[in-house]
Amino acid sequence: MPPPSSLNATIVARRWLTRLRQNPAALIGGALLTAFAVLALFGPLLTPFGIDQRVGPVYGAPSPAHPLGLDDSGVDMLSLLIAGTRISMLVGFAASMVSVLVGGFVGVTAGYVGGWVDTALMRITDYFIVIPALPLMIVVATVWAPSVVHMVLIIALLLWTSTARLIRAQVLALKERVSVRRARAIGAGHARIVLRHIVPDIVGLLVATTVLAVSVAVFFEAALSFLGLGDPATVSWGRLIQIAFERTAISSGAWWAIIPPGLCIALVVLGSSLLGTAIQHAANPKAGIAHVSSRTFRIRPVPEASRD
Amino acid sequence: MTESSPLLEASDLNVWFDLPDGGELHALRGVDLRVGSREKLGIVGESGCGKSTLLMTLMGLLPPSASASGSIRISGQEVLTGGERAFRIHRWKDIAVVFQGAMNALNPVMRIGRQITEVLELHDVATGPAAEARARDLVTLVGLPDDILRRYNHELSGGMRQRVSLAMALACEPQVLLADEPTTALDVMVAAQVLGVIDRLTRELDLALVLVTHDLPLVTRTCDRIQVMYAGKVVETGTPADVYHRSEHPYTRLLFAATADVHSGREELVSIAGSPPRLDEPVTGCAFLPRCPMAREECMTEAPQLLQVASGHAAACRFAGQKVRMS
Amino acid sequence: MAAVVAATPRAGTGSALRGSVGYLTRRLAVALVTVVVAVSANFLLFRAVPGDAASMVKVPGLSAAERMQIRADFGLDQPVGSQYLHYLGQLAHGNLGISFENRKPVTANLWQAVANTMPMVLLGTVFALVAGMATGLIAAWRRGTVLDAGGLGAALAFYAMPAQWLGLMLILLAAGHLPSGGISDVFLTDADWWARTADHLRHLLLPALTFGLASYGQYAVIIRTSMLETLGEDYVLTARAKGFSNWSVVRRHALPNAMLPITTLIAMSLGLLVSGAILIETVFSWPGVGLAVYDAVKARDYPMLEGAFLLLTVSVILCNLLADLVYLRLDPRIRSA
Repeated sequence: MPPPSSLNATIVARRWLTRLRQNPAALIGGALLTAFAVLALFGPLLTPFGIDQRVGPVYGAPSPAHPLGLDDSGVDMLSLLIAGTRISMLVGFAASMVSVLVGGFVGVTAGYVGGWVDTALMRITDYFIVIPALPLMIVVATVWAPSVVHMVLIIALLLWTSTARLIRAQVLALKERVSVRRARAIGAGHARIVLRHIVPDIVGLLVATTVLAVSVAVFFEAALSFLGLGDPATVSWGRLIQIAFERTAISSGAWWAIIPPGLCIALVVLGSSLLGTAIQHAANPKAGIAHVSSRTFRIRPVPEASRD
Repeated sequence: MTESSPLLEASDLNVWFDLPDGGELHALRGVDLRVGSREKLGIVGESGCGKSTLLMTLMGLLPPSASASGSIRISGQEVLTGGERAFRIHRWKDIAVVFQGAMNALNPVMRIGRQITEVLELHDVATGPAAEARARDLVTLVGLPDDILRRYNHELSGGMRQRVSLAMALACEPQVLLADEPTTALDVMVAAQVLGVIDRLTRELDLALVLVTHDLPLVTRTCDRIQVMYAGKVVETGTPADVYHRSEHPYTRLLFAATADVHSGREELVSIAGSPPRLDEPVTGCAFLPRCPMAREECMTEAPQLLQVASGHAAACRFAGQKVRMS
Repeated sequence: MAAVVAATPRAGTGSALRGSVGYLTRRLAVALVTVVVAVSANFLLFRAVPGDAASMVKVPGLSAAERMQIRADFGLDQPVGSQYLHYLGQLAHGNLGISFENRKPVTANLWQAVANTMPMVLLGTVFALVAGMATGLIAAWRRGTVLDAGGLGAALAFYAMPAQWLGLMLILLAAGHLPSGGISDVFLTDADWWARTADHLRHLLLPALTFGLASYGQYAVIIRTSMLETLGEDYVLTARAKGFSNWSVVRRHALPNAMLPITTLIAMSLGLLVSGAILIETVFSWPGVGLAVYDAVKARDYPMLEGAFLLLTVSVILCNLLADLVYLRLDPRIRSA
């Protein structure tokens, strides 16, 4: 009698966590993401100054009171940065989750149902893959009034494709498993099969893909904002870079207006890449044999008690 | 039985593998081995007893996580102490190997012919058209058609791949051929063919053969001598007749009894209870103790050495050569 | 006595050729279908935009009558079906329409834009490939050491940086020693060929370097993974057993196999080259395809947008096809599939 899926899930999850704990990349990635998530949640409560509050001259240099200096409106950069964390992280996570949901649904449907549904869905997916992502996002963003929600949807619009393909491949493989075929043979309903046999096995892939998608989503948010298509009422890291660029921060020598927001983006992207890849490895550990290597086996002197 | 100097000789071989969480696995525990010209030595044992590790060690094909001690002499020259570099001098020219389940032993994007001629060129046996001619001879020798040289690995069946591996191994006319389960992945008919080829070639080319397998009927039919391994040690060595009819080690007896024999008329399969010991912990006393029907108190304290029972026949059991009542 | 056993290989050379042709035909068919879908979707995309194209044209001071004229000129007052057929017909003649903004043929505008983008992204890709392969191969060979973690870490770090930010950072670092905008010095009118080329190269350097740094990470990761996997394959052990030196094993047996995934990656990246530089072109005011798309969006220049999109989509499809061809050539296993 096979154990119920929920018990399996806990065992599997615990095994993954152990593997993740031993992986330095996972730890660094997890730490970075957690740090920024916390900053996003509680940051705005801690901002020393308001983001509309003028506290000094244009592009004021960093000082003890304002460690990251001031922007071209005399607003404290650190406060802007912290405020921007919330929007950037929100868009990143929301877009990633929507894209994985859509992609996962398409992937499971295509893989499980097969036939013409599969072909049709895959042709659509292929089209979205070949169409240049950023230009399409630009077109849609231009036509649609800029807002945070719209941005999330636009980014998700193009991100779902890779998830769909991955999930579909996995589902195709899982469909042939003995447990699934047995369930089908005894006449189990499709919904039941999908939920009990297929979904639990793709959870790992879904989680890894979600985390990895965060990096892509944050990147696109920064790109769209940079091109002036973000919500002008909100502050995000991407928008801060755009403002710095358009208001000639470089020629003013105001490096503090440029470096911090980009650095934050880089750290979040790096963190989610590291963690996402680590999760993928935790779900599918591969033995690391190398038959040829820069190091070789060692010779030991003959042991004293060689016969135990 | 040959008394000439052995082509391949190993003494007191020990091999350890580093484990990911810090400990080490003592895979070979003081193994001796020797093969002379035209001799066929069979090595048998359960999975995990170290027989494949032994073959790898004889060619120095250990990973960086391994450490080894002891002595290995190829044609009289000590190689183990020289490490990877020393082994490389002898590889393929003096000692060659056919791997287990040659499904992926051939490069998938290189033609078969090239994979044979490259060894000929590497070891200065032949180049250019002469090398191609020799490659053709080699594949004919193993019973394959010429045009196989133009093919790729994925176009060949399992039996063909195994035979190609064999042809490749013989390309530089080594003195010793190591074969690790050469027929395990093959169906019975093809296995018989491949074995026939190996058998014929060892006679025609004066090869020494070390055959690792878990197929006991095969090894008793084909080999001049057999070594039985258990938990990284050699527990019995002798001729097939010695080892099969006059076995002096309880493990050997049980091993042969556990083999289903169509002709024996026995109705039940005898199996050996328990499982081999973990090799990541030191073993005191006899490693076979927990599963041995003859176990006594004395067996717990001292590991048995190989005791000579008759000429050329030895067993690592304190009761070897004696008549003991089973408990 | 030594009978030649009747060995029947799974596929003969004749079948390999048939297999190749079959594979190619399938790929070509898929590519064609995707192109047709792309063309049609392209057409619909720019008609489905809310508000009439002509009404959105951001040229100041147009009267209602002039707008009507534009609509008629561009055939926007026809039913959709006939517009589609007209569109296809024009495409067949290589006519992508006239740009709303500068009244020149879209084809000519795009051609110029592509000619500007290509040197920059090609140079950048060369940077990326060299750096990526070196990093990846060294990391795989020295797995687990500082070279591995460091190389991989640096690659991932650069890959994580937004391209526009990286460009700005490089401008900051170059601190005026290298030009930060445009493709050439406007004032360099009567200089000789050498001086002009040198000037072009100086302008090319920063954007290409930005592109290279921003993209080398993916090559490094992929080749490292591929090499690590290959080093664990049985045929590598066979090669070592044959007596080859480490370097020979890697060169003859490991590399040809490890490089397979990366050749397809390169071919596919070529397809994305054209569009991947929007951010960099904006930062460096580089008048390439990316900037053209951006400007066309802002000016609601639909013919330009339509043409650019078509160009970008088709180039991706073609390069994917190219990737398939290259893979067919390199991996014999595909031919018998």
